[in-house]
Amino acid sequence: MSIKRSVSFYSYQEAYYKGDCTLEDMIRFTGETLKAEGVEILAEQTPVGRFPDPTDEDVDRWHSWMEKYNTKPSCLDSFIDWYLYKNRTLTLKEQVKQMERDIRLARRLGFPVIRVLCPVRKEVVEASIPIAEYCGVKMGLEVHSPMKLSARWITEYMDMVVKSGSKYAGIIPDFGIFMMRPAKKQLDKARAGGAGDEVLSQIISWCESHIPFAEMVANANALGVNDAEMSVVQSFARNVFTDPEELRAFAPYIFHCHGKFYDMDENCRETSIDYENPIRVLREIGYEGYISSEFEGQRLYGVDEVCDEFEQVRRHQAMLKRLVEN
Amino acid sequence: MATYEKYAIDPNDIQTVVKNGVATGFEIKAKIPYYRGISLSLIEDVRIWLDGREFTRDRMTFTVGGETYTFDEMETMADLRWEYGEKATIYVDCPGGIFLGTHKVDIMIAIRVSYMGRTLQYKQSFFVCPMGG
Repeated sequence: MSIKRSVSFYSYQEAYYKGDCTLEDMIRFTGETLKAEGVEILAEQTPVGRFPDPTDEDVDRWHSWMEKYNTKPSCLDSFIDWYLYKNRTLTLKEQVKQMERDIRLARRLGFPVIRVLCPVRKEVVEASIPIAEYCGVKMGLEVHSPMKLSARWITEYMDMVVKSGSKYAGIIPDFGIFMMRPAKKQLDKARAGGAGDEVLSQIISWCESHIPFAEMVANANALGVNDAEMSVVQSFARNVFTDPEELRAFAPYIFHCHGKFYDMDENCRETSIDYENPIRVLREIGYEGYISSEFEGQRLYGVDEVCDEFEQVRRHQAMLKRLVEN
Repeated sequence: MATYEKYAIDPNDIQTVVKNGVATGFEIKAKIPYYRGISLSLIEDVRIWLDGREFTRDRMTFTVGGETYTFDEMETMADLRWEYGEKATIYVDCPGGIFLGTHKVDIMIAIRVSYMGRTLQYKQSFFVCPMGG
């Protein structure tokens, strides 16, 4: 067994939104072109039938696609809307009910794991353990930048998980936590907006040495950067680096991984995020789940630029294949 | 520039509405300015300006999935949804509609996003000329 490749259809949000592709198109591309095994969807973005209650026909068609294109459901991304109503926050029981809704949907569609949003309270996950165990669906709390694996929020969550003794609550690291530097595409955009090469290399070196954000801003102010340069610095407020070695402590609790990426170059290398070290560590700790390609570089493209999401995913899958198999 | 900022509203879809021969208002067709579908109760507010004149949500209706609602009604509609990529019609009560010539339309759509702990505001401006001239 080794790490398995998956694709999150979040990656194709632009094409789907514009009506350029269907759910079946994305599944076909995953199985036939990318030869990837896993299929991940956001339950409310590229739904199977109507969310949250597809008809039996919708569900049968979904399973027939999985068979036809030789793919498997990997992870269903769930949302809990605790601000569902204007006048109040949902109670714990109501939030658990939303979790149950998504767990039951995952079971119908054959997803072994659901992604739980990072800010979901650990009490909600804890109270959902019985239904998750009953349905055989695991809940993975997404550790998404700027959250760190070492954050107190995660430590307290893991204390709850360990104490519960359940095998149905764990985590989903998002590779955005291993971001090393701004994406090449982002730097190109900054250059077009007036950023200078010398200042940009300085900013890149600050990012690569993982200095704290406040220090980076202070350095930038001392240097006297322009707006385009400052916007690159500011983007790192949301990118807090985690040392991939920290994954080791979470070994039995990693249910799935989000292969977040922003920019794949022609040589199939991610220009901003470290993939080599996290995958090396995952292999060393015997991780056998999926890494799911999750493209989020759409926002780096201008109004008149076309963003080829399918090509970006193809390149990302080529990189995963190289790192996972060699 | 995220996906929805580019594609949520097609300015060619902004039209004067004529009922029984009388222009009663105008409508805007919009896809959700967010990356997933949501319960209608999560739509916090919509504001539209026609040449700077402000229209608040009490002057509008919202049509999705073949049914039309007021924004007050939508506040409790947790089970009815605006799906990702689905076009909704926002109708604005504005006697006379949009006159001949080119006009400026500004729109703001606010959606409560629980996990961000805040309301996401989408704002766009368009120059439109639905009646020619």
